[in-house]
Amino acid sequence: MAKKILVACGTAIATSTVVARKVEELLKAKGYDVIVEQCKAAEAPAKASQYDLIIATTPVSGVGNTPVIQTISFLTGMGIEDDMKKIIEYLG
Amino acid sequence: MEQLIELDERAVQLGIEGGSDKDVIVQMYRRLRELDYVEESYLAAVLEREQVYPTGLPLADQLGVAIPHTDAIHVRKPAIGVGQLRTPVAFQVMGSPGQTIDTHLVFMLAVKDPQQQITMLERLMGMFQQRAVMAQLKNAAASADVIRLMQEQLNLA
Repeated sequence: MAKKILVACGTAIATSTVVARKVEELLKAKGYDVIVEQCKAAEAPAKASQYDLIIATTPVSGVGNTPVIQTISFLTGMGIEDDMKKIIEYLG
Repeated sequence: MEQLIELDERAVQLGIEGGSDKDVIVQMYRRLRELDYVEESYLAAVLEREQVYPTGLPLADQLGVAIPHTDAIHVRKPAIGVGQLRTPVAFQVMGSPGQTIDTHLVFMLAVKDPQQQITMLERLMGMFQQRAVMAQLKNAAASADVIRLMQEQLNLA
């Protein structure tokens, strides 16, 4: 079954939109079947339980057991490889 | 070729002298407001957002950029305001409370529909990763040069 990833940022206007598409592209290119959705950071706690992983450009809390990777690498281009390794570890 | 975003030379401000991140944001908001790209409510919204969710991004070569933006409800027409700072101004780093980045360029985003503008936003982030282009923007002496560089990166890519 496809793993579900939630991408969170401040307003869900600019950064999470870009991060979500980038993560989806990179994972699909590596053969991972994923569903990537985006939300505002404030909405993350209510949605977290439906996702296998949260990627956030800003600190998020109250998301229970769902693992969080906080990073801006997908925006700056620096550190993407390391973050992709972490993401793939979480997806198993 | 389809224009992903209409770049407006009048929204480019070179050599901004700002005492603080807030001061820079106010100056850039005024320009976008004069040009009718944003609502009056944009300013308070973008300042509040910048405090809670700051937008400074540390790039290669010690270059700092910030991308202040807020909800679409405060936007009238899509635009990018470009501010080149005479001397770097500290902006808070995205996702790292308390950490600042000396910022040289500010791209104030007026986003109306994220899904429609996603390709443009992706290309903007892609541009941030091109060191030569960013250095030219940082040192640009004319607004027309900024528009030409961004046109190549955002619309003709």
